[in-house]
Amino acid sequence: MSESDWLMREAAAGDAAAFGVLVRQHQSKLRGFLLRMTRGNHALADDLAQETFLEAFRKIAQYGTGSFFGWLCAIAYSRYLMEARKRKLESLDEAAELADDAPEAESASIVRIDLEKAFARLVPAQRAALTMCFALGMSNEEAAAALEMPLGTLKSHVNRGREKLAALLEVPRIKAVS
Amino acid sequence: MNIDDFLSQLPSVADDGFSERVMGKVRTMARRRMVFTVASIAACVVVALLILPWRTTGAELGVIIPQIASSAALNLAAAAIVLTFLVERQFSRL
Repeated sequence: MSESDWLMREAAAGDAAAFGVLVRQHQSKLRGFLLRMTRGNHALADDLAQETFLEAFRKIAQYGTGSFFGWLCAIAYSRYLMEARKRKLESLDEAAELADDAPEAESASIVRIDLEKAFARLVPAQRAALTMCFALGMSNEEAAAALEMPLGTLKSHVNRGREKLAALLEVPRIKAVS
Repeated sequence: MNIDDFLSQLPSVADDGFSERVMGKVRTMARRRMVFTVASIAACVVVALLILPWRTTGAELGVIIPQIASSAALNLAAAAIVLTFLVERQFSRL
């Protein structure tokens, strides 16, 4: 049995200290993930991370098998979506993304776009999929399970997100050449 | 920095007391849960004490328990259950 599994079992049995070890082990990665999701909003990312851990503690007896961090990400992503809908932080669907992709008058401002800003323009599902698969080192299957989407949809989000990121970063160069 | 480098990194976030804040809330939640559990059990015990026919039950148990204690088959079954439980506990710790 791995250390993480043992801690999970102890935490599920009501051992708050064991859960504390899990919190310390995973807080940085989870907050980093939420920071990406909230487009750099530290306060919101920390609130969501805290709610995620509290919900995890409440539901820890329901946790089955698989990666504990993947399970945390699933809770965090669903919390983020709920918050985004509540606060109307951003459009969550692909239709809105297409509108966002349309040629825009302030194209000169795109020159200043850096990777962080370009990433912030992706839809939440693409940001989550890219962060899980690249930065968090989760397998496609783990990420698909955490985001509660079919494997094909996840791969599509990863590919489309990466293409869009590249396209957003290519625009200034094209403009400069022409 | 290219796209792959960017995607493979996460913003570094220092703990800065975050874990302690979370654990403070977790401990409060655990305490509330414990109080609720104890209060529920106490309420059930009070109701049971008021409703159940304790005198009749006690008299019947006084007859049944000696019979159970002297039954070899029941003693073996109880030993098997206890042994299974102990072995399962030992294996789960490995």
